[in-house]
Amino acid sequence: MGDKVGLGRLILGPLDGLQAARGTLFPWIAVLIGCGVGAWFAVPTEPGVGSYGLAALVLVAGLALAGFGPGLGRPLAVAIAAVAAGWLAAGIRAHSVAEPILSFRYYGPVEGRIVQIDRSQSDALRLTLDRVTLREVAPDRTPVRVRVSLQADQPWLDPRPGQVVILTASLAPPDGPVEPGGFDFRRMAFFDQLGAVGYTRTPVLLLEEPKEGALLIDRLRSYLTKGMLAHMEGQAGAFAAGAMTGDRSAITQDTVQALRDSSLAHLLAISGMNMAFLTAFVFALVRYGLALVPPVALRINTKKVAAVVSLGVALFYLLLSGANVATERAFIMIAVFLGAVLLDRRALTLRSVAVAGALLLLTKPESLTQPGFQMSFAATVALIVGFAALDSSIYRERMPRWMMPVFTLVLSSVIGGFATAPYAAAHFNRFTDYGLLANILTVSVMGAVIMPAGAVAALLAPIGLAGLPLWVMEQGARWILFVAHWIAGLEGAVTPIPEPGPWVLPLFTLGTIWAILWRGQVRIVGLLPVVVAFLMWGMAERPMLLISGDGKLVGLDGPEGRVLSAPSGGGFAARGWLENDGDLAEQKEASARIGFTGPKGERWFDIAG
Amino acid sequence: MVLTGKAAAGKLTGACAGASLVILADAPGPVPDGCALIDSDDLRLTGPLAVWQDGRGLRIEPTNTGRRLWSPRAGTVDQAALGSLGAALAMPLPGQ
Repeated sequence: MGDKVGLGRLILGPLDGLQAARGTLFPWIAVLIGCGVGAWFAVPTEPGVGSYGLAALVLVAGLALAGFGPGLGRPLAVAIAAVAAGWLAAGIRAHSVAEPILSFRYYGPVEGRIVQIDRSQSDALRLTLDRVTLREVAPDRTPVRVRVSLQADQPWLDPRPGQVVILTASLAPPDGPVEPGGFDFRRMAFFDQLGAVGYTRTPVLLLEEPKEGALLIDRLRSYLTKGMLAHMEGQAGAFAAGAMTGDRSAITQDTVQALRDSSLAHLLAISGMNMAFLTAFVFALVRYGLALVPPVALRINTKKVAAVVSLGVALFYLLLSGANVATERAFIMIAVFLGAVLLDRRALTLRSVAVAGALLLLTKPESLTQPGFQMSFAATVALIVGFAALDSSIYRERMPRWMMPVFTLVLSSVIGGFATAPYAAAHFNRFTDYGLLANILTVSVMGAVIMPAGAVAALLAPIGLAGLPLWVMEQGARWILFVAHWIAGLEGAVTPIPEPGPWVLPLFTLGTIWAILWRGQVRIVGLLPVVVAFLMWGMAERPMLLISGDGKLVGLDGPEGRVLSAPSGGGFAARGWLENDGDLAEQKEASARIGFTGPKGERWFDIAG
Repeated sequence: MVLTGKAAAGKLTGACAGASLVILADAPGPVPDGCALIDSDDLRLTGPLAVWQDGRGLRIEPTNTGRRLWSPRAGTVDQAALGSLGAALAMPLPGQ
């Protein structure tokens, strides 16, 4: 008998605990949806119809049990339903975006409509085309979108969204990982419906100007960016315009690199932070503006009016910036927060972050795999938890009032930096040693100067008075780029970090979430996976030998680090391998290391030391 | 050893005699008996390869193991062939 009671307690104990924690379980729904999505992405073989049928069944059964089942089992039923929902959402999304991928190398005429203009890693102008026609490729095998980088200068070409162009290009299927387990560009391209990438060295010819009313938003973006660039000089202007409109085609790779090396690249993304700055400014402007008009302020709820107006501005910003996944994420987060304001709830809580997370994971499950998603949510959650912990501490009351803004700024940079660093290190194989300093010096300028000035410029532009706010923006951008270049140029600004392997980030993430979401003693359990994750990362091994997909480049782990068989060619693989090794060397440098002998085209090496 | 360039396939016989592993950035003609060769046809199937020191032997890990909506519709990777190639590499060359 004693055994039975013990067993019963073993099972019922945790269920009782869950029941007691019921009020705080909500964020777990988002986490478990994420687990379902994560599992879908992790399996090596494409899940079949059967798995979706099962998932649908589990989802329905789980929801039914959650609604009508015995009280103790309800949390568990919801949990299982959430995992099934994640799996199902990922499958539905993937099959609904599936479009043809070019299956061979193509050289020939390409006709298509420009939908996006940006720059490649080698600084070449790059056009993304839709409505693509290729020679002797059937329409049902032609990719929906192709991306072509222009390798020759084409001064006569002024590309704008909506233009139909013809060109002769080399196209190929998107490249897979450069090594087992590496970043898979094919997967990213698949969800972007990008079925081929390539380049051209010959002229791009304009076939048709944009049609009346087509791609209005994209043309507006291009128009606004050009208008801003006309008033602001150089890279500072390009940066400010890019941050406002999402059109980064004027920003050079040198600038991007400096921003990356100083941990400031997020300033350029239409990130949650930039959108938050903009909506916060509009919110404050409307709310305090209305407060100045007593007849209005006394009759209506200015806070709610401000929330509605800033939601509209956020929506416009979303559309203007091209509604890529990162911006959609930012918008959903802001919309959920403003919705909380409208419903008289506290805006920034773990609950609202969970709502935003669940919405995103169900509609754009591929977000889970993106560094931007992971870093935004890590930063937001950490800020909420960090400031909540501080709220109850004594420091706040002892601090002089004037110190508060400085303190808040420094603390949010510290918290945001710590929360995002593991993700940045794992994805980009780098830790920016002075990133914290760079952020403290610039984030306030972004929030208090560039974004507000941009909003004011937009307001004043119709009456021709945008000049002054644009000048202010330019000065702010100058400061940010100055800091970026200064920090990036410091000795040891970037510490390379080797690839962590597939389990480190999931373990670290789930462990931290566990420690944050539970109350009481049991939260300590979350530290275990975190410790294990860091141990795994520390001990992660790298392959002794790497062979590129075309056999032209081989990388051997040598006494001086990885040595490459050739100083040029296969640069994409070379860069990927060295980065994943945690090696800052360039291909040429790495090919000069000890390890290979013999003439070009006939390189000998000694395996197993 | 690694053979690349236009004349690569022609140097195969010599390379096979002297090396315990030949990586050829080309599709070969006739392959000498007992030559441990990885050529561009193999790589098209496997994707990039990683070679790990695994206990006493060598383990060759292909990149294209998954069969997802976004991976190319190529043939399947011959895991057994990779396994025996890895085992062969760990053995000393005849005459050494």
